[in-house]
Amino acid sequence: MEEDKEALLARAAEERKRLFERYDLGPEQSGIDPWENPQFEVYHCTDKYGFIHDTRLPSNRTAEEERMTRIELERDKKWMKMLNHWNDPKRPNDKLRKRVFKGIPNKVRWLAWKKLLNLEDTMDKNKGVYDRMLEWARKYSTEARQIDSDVNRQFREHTMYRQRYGIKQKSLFNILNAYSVYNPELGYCQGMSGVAGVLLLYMDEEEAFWALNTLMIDKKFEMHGLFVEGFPKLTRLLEHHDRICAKLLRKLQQHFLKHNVDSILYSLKWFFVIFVERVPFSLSLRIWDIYLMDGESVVVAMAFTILWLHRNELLRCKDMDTIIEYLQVKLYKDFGYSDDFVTETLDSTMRNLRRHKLHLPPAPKKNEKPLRPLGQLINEHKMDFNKTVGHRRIDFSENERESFELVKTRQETPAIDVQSTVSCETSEYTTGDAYSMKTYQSFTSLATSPAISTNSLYSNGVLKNQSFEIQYNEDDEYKNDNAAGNKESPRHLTPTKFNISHSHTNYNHDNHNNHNLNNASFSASSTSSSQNNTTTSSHNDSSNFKYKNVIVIKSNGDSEIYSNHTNDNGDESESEKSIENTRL
Amino acid sequence: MTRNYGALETKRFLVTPETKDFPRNNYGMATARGNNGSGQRPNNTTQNRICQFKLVLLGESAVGKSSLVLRFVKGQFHEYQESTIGAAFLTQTLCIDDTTVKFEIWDTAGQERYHSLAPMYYRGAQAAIVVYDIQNQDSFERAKNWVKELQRQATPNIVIALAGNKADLSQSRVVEHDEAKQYAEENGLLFLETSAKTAMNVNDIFLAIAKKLPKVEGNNGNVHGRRLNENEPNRQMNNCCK
Repeated sequence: MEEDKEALLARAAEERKRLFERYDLGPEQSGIDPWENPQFEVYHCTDKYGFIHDTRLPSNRTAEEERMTRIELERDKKWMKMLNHWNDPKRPNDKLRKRVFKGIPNKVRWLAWKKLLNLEDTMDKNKGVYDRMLEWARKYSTEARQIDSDVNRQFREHTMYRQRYGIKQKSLFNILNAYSVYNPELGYCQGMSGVAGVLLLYMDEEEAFWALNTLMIDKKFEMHGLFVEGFPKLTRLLEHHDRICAKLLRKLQQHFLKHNVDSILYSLKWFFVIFVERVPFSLSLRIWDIYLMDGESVVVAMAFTILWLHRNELLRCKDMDTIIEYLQVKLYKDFGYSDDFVTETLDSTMRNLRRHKLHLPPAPKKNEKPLRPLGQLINEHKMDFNKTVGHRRIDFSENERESFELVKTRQETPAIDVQSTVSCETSEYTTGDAYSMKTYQSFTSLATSPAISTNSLYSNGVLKNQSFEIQYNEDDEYKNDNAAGNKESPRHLTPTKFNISHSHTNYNHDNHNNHNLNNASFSASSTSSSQNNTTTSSHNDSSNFKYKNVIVIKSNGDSEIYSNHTNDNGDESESEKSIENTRL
Repeated sequence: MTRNYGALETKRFLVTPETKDFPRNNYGMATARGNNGSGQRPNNTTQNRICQFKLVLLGESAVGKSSLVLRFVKGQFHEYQESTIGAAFLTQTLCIDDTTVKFEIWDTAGQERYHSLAPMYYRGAQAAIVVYDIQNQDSFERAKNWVKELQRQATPNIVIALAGNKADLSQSRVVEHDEAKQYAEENGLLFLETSAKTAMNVNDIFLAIAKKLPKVEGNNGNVHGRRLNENEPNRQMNNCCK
């Protein structure tokens, strides 16, 4: 006992001496860890997901962000509880669904994704397989060159992938090579590094390998057909996307056709990497949450949702380059709607598409699935020499020739004369189209300012609530685009509930007959809140809030989507309130 | 003929965590609009026509197609430009004498597997830049195949330029300048060695293409490459989705 005391005292004295000595030596001494000097500007530019930005992120958090953090903390607890009882047969499925749509808290995402993909099971059944594949890959992978060049470019602005040959880069290189050996029919296709790259942000190497495999071959996802030679699933998804647009977004589709904008020109990354780098990263994670739960119907619905939410802006784009730029660049920088609003819209879109029986594309073709068993040892003698030495093939394979021809015919489809088609429109959405045609004409004939078009909205009786002063300031929006660090959901957006209450009010104005009790009581409260918000927002013109959410109801078909939508949100905001109440 | 060029490629992208030059977003908003929208062109005194051309970039993976475009359109260079999936689209405008040439640029994915989607992007193009990496013989052979395919499948009279990129790394050069030049002359191609990194010859190659493109009225009667009168493009640009 006495000895221990002495030793502790000696240690304390030693420590004290050492510390004083270091200060005596001053800043020139050796052995200072780099992090001890505040040179690491990178920490000031890194967002909550690990992406590094050009400029420092603001050090103050907005009230809205703080509110969201508090909500997320509450959700963490609920999620942990739910994850611990994952296999409980009594666990209600709709609760999971609801919570996934609200967004899996970033802290538990790694756990939740593993559960959603059922990785524990898969890995139990395949013990040792990954290591064997990795070993084979070292000997036989024919894709190492391409994978290397892609790993070197994947998410390099993310802290985890920043260091060349760093641990995550190594994992990414390993799993892509191992997978190309495990599933040699698929091999490696550019785009898979994006999928695996996202998975690796939340998983370790072996988990990500099996998650990648699940995404490729599980019936729910079947991305194999997307990436395999000739892209058979891509053409199927595109056709389905076009079919949905023809039915529900006809006017926009005509507009696109008029300007030679084929869906293949804007939607590849939507389908291949599930919207990563086409929408802000925070939003793409939310879509991934839902995708991992529900599978490809999410991709179909989200593709439609993007066009639907932005249809008015897209109709205002008067040539191909502005349309494509809007979809490829603008929406990535700033989606213009809060993540919550988008996932809520996605939810109702999914249900609406299901009603129309359009939620899933037609059944897959034979060549979209691996035909040979996976994970078989490769016969060295049967390997393609050109592939092994990294030569390109000169001829197309049958699959490729098919898609080559298909792509050519897609392009040859003549652009349709939009004016005449629209005027003899016979679809069930005629009312809507007639309305939007008016707006459309007011754009083209009257003016360059969208503000004028809103006058026509008033005169058409679409917007009855005169307190909504709609102004659309082009310059403001651009200022916002240039603002730094836009990967998180934009700060300037007024909370979702505001938008919804507007649309809800409109809806009730236009559809008195459709009231039910629930709606009525909700709308009573939301009307007052919307009036509050209106005053705020007219002050906040310069804060770039976009009013497009306000103009929601335009046709029978569309209001059908959104009548549902508002109901859900009635419930949603109730539950949010309860979260806040418990906190207080 | 085959050479393992993976190592050389990676050297180029070598980045340590201390690198100050943080990545940027890939593409800028202001490109086309900034140059066209407000009619503030460098020599707007004599502006009287605008020609619009579709241009496609083709070539082996990781030779620097996207980097060339980024340099031309935004004047930037990223050491680790993301790999292009499918294709990316950008626009840029050049002024030659009294003509404004607007390029609609389709930057394509280089991996062999995306080859079957290529016609989507080169069909209707009036110009193409076929890119190879001067450190990589395979990519040069691949470029020759692209030229053949373009001459067979694309728009007749398409203006093709051959770009030997990464010219700043000439210490590890494999494809000789003269060899490529001779090939280009035999096939009627424009040819320049470029460096997206140092910006060497990047604007020049686009300018050379713009000069060679026929800027007469009609332009094959195509949707693209049309001549627009002075007022029309302004009205168009100002209206769009801002």
